[in-house]
Amino acid sequence: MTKRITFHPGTPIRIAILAMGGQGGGVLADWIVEMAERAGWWAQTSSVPGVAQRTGATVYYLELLPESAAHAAGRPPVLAMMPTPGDVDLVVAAELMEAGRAMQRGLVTPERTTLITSTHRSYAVAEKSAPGNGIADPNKVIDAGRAAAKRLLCFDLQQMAERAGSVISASLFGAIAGAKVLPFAREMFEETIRDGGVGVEASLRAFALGFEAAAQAPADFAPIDTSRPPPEVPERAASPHAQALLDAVKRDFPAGTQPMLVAGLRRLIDFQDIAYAAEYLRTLQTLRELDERSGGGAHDWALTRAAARYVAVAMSYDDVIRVADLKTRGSRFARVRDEVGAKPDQLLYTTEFMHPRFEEICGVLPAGLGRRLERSKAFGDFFRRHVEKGRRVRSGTLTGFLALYCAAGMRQFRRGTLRHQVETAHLRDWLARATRIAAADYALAVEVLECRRLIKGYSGTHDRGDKRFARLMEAADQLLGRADAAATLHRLRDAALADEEGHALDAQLAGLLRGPFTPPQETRRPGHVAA
Amino acid sequence: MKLVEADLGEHHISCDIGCHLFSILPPFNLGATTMGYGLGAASSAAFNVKGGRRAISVMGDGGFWHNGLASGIGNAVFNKYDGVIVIVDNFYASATGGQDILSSRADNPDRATNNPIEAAVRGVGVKWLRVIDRTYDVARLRDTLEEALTTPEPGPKVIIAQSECMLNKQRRVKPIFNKAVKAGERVIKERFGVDADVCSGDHACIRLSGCPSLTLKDSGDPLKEDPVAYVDASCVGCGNCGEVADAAVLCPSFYRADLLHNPTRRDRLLSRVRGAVIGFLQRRRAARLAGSAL
Repeated sequence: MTKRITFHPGTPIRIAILAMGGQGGGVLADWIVEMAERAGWWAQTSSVPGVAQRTGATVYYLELLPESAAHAAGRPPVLAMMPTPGDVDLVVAAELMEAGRAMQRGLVTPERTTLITSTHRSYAVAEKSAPGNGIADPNKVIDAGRAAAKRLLCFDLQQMAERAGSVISASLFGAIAGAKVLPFAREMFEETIRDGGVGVEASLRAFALGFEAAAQAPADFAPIDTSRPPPEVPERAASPHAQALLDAVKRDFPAGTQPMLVAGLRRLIDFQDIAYAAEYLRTLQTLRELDERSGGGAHDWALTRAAARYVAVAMSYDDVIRVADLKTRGSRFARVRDEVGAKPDQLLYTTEFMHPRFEEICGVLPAGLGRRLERSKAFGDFFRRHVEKGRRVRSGTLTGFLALYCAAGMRQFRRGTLRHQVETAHLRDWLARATRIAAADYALAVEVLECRRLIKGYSGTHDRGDKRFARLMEAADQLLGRADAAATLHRLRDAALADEEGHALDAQLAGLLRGPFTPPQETRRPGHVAA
Repeated sequence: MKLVEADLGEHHISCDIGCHLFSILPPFNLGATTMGYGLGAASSAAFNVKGGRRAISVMGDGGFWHNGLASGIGNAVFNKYDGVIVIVDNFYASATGGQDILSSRADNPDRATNNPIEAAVRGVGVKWLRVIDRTYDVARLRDTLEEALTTPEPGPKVIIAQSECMLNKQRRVKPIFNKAVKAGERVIKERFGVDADVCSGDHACIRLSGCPSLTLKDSGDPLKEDPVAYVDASCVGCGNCGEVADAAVLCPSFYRADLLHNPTRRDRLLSRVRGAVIGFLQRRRAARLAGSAL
């Protein structure tokens, strides 16, 4: 689509650039001004910066006017400093939510605005701090852009810049050129970059990527795929020991449930051993039979699918052994090297921030001993005072590594630990509840399984999730029999993941559960006057 | 302060002008008032009444020398103010770009620097004073704040929290560091990271840290629905995230990576010995896992 944008004669081209600190929005604005001036135009840029050194969105505003227009008017032009709603020809957003904000400010209008935005995200604090997944739906912004702009161009310009070893300002500049919204040729854009003299080659590479993407942009953009690809079911297992498990999965389970089962088996082999994974599969087989009895075939085996994920999660609880294991693996050492960009001749040492509590230490002891120590107040106080403190473990040194390695080696005793006993009992109760409910309300049973998502983390975080889970299990029992039971529990789960303090959950529990369930009784005593 | 409030409940907090004022925004939501430069303590003077909880005021070093010494500290001593005053001593006027002030650590031929805030505070008669030379020691700062909020001692409780502004420091140190690397000197670069497979995706760390480098990414694990925490490349290595995770007893996902540039012969030898033992054990365990892999 290369429809020429026609500008109002005698009025300047108006451009707004929305970028965050560090994205090079200023560089981009300067490039455009330089290019325009070189072509003999009048050009001006101004900016309204956001706050602080690394946050805050800045709005750059540019006006470009050809010399001929100034000449025709017979006097030098007065260019504006601020964009006004409904009066912007080109809006460039260096991040997707910046595009959203531009629309909110009214800068994007269907009569005249071309909107070019990168689709990558820098998450806002509100999105990052949700205990669950608080990331906003990017497609809402793209849908709004489709409606609000005369023409919308959106692609991941950040990724293009990274691929070229440059910053997003260069790929945005390329996209502006490729979109052919400004009356300047590609060569003029590139010349401006060259004259800048800083990181020219990388900038030109990023420019070219942005240019191509915009020049070949489709008339309409497909929505961003936010789904997560399901794990693949392999043809053959990687080792002969695991083949029997894979065969059982393929033989006994519906195709739709197999990917998650494979992921579950992999996790549990990694967590403990083949026998433990086999135990998982037996549990799942029981649940699949339950699913069949409850008519799961008509529900796409939702119960088995939910169980495949969350039983595996529940069985691979994060104990000290697990953490020590993950921290000492060779693959992990390699990953850290990769993440910090270590070169072969550089040495890398990591320091782990550990803080195992008394409860966690008791958890890895043999069940009987652990329970006795946990009950002993004197020992607990002593331990908390003298032993329990933050520990910095240098996992690259021999002492640090061997300590963690030995802790990881305790996995062979794991089934005898107190933690294992506690987790197993928890798992049994939870599955028993789901089984009981499945007979009466299939959808509610699925939701009960999904609630396991609340339990995660360590220490205080884990305890908090545990408590919320328990409240939801109680709620499930109370909801059983109501027509909207499953939907209600689903809402409660979302509320439980909405904030740390549990305000949303409290409100929902008070409103949803108590409200229609036990309607408030109006007890009017004689002589009582309602206020 | 979030951690203190978890223990002792909400307090009145009056802020000064400066970057710390961002505490009034999510995820912290800390701070009830701000009046003007250096006026953190002055603006909470009105709360000098017997109450269940003491007011906390924050003051930057720039504001302290601007007027806070007299309007805040002197006033508090004179009126036998019972609250807590935190002075952020980050080595210079940081938010505006690192200009020198009386207590700057730099040597300035035209100005008299290196006049410690501590001496000035004691000079006007403060008895209860704690100096914390590393603000990033979150657990220690929390304990000191809790002590200040609960001690029976009368009069103002002043805490001086010293640590250089990390962003300015990076700007100052980066060229020196790069030069040292080029010159072949043995230098260490620190960075922080999160182990994605250990992180459970609860984001408690994000709620307590607020660091712009601490963000989210997909867990890469089909069993883990929620995104996990991730430290991006803009990390300046201040270590606040790890300290918070430790002080709040959150989780063991954080690590600090020390990247050693230009290792000496001794470093290399030591690394080779360590690598041999560690590598052997890792391969042994990896082989056992591979033996039963699906």
